[in-house]
Amino acid sequence: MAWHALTQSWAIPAALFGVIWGIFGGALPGISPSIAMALLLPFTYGMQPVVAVVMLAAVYVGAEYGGSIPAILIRTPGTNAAAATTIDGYEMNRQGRAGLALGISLSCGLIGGLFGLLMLIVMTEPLARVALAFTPPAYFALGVLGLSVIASLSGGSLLKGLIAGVVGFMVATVGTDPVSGVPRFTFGEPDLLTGIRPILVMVGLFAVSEMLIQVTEPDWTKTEQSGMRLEFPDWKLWKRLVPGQAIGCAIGTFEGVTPGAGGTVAAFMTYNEAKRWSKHPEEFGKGSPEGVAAPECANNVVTGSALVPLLSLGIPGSNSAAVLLGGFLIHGLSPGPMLFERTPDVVYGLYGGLLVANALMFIVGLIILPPCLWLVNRPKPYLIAFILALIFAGVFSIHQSMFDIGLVLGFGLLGYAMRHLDLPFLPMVLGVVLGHMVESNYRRSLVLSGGDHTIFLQDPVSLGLLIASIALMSYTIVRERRAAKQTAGVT
Amino acid sequence: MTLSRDAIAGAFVAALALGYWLVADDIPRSLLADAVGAEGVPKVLGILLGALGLALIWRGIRRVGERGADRARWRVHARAMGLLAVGLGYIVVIPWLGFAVTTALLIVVAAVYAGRPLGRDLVLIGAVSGAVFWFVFAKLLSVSVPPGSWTGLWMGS
Repeated sequence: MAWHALTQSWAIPAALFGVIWGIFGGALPGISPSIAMALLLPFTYGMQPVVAVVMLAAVYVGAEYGGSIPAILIRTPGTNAAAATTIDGYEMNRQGRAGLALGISLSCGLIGGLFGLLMLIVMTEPLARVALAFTPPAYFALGVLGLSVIASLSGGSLLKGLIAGVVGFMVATVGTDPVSGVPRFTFGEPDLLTGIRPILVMVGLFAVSEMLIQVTEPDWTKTEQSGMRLEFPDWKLWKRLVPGQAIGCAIGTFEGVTPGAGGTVAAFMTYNEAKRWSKHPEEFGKGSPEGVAAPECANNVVTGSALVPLLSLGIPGSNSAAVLLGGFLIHGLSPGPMLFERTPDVVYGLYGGLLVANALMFIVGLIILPPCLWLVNRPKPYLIAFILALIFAGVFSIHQSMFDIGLVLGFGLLGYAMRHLDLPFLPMVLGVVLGHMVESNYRRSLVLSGGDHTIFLQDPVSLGLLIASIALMSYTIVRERRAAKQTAGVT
Repeated sequence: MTLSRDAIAGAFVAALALGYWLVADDIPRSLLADAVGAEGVPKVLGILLGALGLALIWRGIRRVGERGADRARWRVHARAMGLLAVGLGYIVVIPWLGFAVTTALLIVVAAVYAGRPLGRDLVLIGAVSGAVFWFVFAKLLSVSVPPGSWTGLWMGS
């Protein structure tokens, strides 16, 4: 089915374009995978659903490799997840082994990406099958479980995470009331009657706010690497890299499936564990090839495993997964239990697309280094100007609405303020995406029960999910307090 | 005394919560409404956000002087707001100048604002980019882009 979905559409060319776009985006410092994906999101509107999600997923795959290019060459990680690669990658560059560092990053990224895809295929469908028996109270509880993830997405401050989550939920209440049809918070503006689309929130928060930040910061360092060629590890070195990659696969799977953890945490944890288990720990930090292989493998595993909670339960556990969710929503698809029943072609097409995207990443990665170096060296003012033009034209093309561009600018301003006030984005995105589901199923459940709130405790699935939400919240709070105490003890 | 950033953020959040709650309280009650009503969940959210905002103010007051609102940062913020104004200008100008010209103008103005000196090459890049954007969106993607009122004047004459 995956093959059919791919070959009967423009999915493979879209995957190629997505990988190239992702590598370029990842290679530009400040353009994270989620921003690179968000910039393309408006353009997916007129595409077939399978083509759109494959392209967005391919951007994610490409960006994770692209992020390692400036990390190795100019000591500036193109993505957060590539920060761990900077430590040994840049040291290898200083020793004249940049080509080998990039070759290790590319080959280990391919292995990590394929392993992550395998985990996605193995874990998603069984989880989604369990969720098929859901009723309105269970859907409400699932939304609460999704919102409880906010605790682990708060970046160290639960209070700020909750504020961002509630603000997101408030954005979701704009528009026509799902039960009575009364307009809410529309202020007489017809464009608001259908609500604020998550895509506008995401493009504003991630992309526009980044441009506002970039315009206030100095240009990034230039690199002179003309004539550089990729170099792959020989068999002897490859054997040495295997343990680090195995650690990367294990940690990348666990951290990817855990909402809020993501590629950055996975890469740093893997780096530490690879150093601990290495036969040459003294080389770490001084240009160790294992120090590049392990984190690069881990953050590419996450490109697959992070999609498990999204596809099976509809819960985005990372910024990139949230943008991919936006891609699903644009086409009227709701990731979660029913996705496998209603649109299996999209799911299997996505699996096939990820396989193709990983293969294309390897092929494109072999030839794209010179244009990437050219792009990294472009003056930042041009990049800001072109990205802004792309955002406006893309957002306008969705509904030919100038009002939408105004909203995106508004959310860009909000995102800028949130960055300066250390308020995290992802809880807000979760609030926007899950708010409608939580409210409408809460009220539907109460209509069914005649206003009796015990319906949420009588339904076994709902009860289980609510207990899981409380357990997840408690675990995160305890973990954060313990970490805060340890930090206080050190200082 | 310098207020910490948390206290300032908390004040904004509390004000937002109050405004949101007042608008929620004004939502008309429909005959089709359920027990919760269209205003039920928003009012709870308003109260919750207000409480969280007050908690943030309290945390900020306890940390007075820790990380104050740096006056020097206002210049940085003003620079960011300038780029936002360029974006708003795009919305204002596009009905008159149309998609291609406004996009070209946006690229030139944003690049100059971001630090690129205005020169012939930049104007040329802007003009070519405007034409390419128009071709991609209007022709390839068949998006109905604003032609601009000046094209009407041209046609009229």
